[in-house]
Amino acid sequence: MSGDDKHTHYFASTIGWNLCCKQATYLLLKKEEVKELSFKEEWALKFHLSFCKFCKLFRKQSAILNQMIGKTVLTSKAQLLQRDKDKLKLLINSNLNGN
Amino acid sequence: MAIPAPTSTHKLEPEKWVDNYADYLFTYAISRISDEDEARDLVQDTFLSALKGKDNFKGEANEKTWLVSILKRKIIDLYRKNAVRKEQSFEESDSYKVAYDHYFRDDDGSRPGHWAGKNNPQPWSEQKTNLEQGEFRRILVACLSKLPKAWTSVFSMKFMDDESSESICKELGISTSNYWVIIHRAKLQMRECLEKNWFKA
Repeated sequence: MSGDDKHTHYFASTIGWNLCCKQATYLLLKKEEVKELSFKEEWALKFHLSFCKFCKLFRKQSAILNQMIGKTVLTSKAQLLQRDKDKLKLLINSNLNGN
Repeated sequence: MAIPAPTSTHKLEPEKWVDNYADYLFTYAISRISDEDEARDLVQDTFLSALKGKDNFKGEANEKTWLVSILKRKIIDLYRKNAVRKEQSFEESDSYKVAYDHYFRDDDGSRPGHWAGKNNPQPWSEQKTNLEQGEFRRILVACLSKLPKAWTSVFSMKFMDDESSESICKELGISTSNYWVIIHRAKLQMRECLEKNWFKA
């Protein structure tokens, strides 16, 4: 059906013991959330990460990103322009008075 | 849209909503949809829905929690609309969606699926991983806005709202395996964008 379904099929059907980087990064992201992969996936990933420095780096950076994105959103502040706030106030007031 | 209807104690003071919550709601919205105009409209819609539903407010939750729950509902509705209107957006054809072969070798060439070279992860500058809030946030939002909309929804529900994959799939009506492919591709693209614009050593 869609393009992503094609990839879905790719990951479902071709994961063996010998992973390529595309599969390894897919699995390690999945592992961040589900914690436990299948036995085969778990060992294939471990093996791949034992020699692939780019995937190892990807794993480390992915963890840093998760942490930084979480923190940023919690603490960041955006501000509406005063002009927009004034408009909102008018809108609310007219609504309150109308009722 | 169902508006939560709680019971007693907390009171609503609509005259103070703008001063007390407008910035908070705007921040909440913009970090999830990364579009200023849409975020501004959502804040307005939230206040309007809240006014309409204020007789149903029974004071069980506090005012702020109640307003956020209304906004959250609206954001999910928008996510859904984006996913439905652009069924395309979950597909290849999205013009600014970065293809897998941007990162990995062709499936039918030599060493298929391994990092292609040009866009491999590079070491990051240590000091950039210590937060400097304002600036990082600006770049994060810019990178998010380059993702296809449907991916942004999935990405922010997961990383900002900390929602489980099951509830995201249910809310947006996508399959679990499709969800993982979206997370994979969105993460590849976000990592690259943030590396180029922020983390570069």
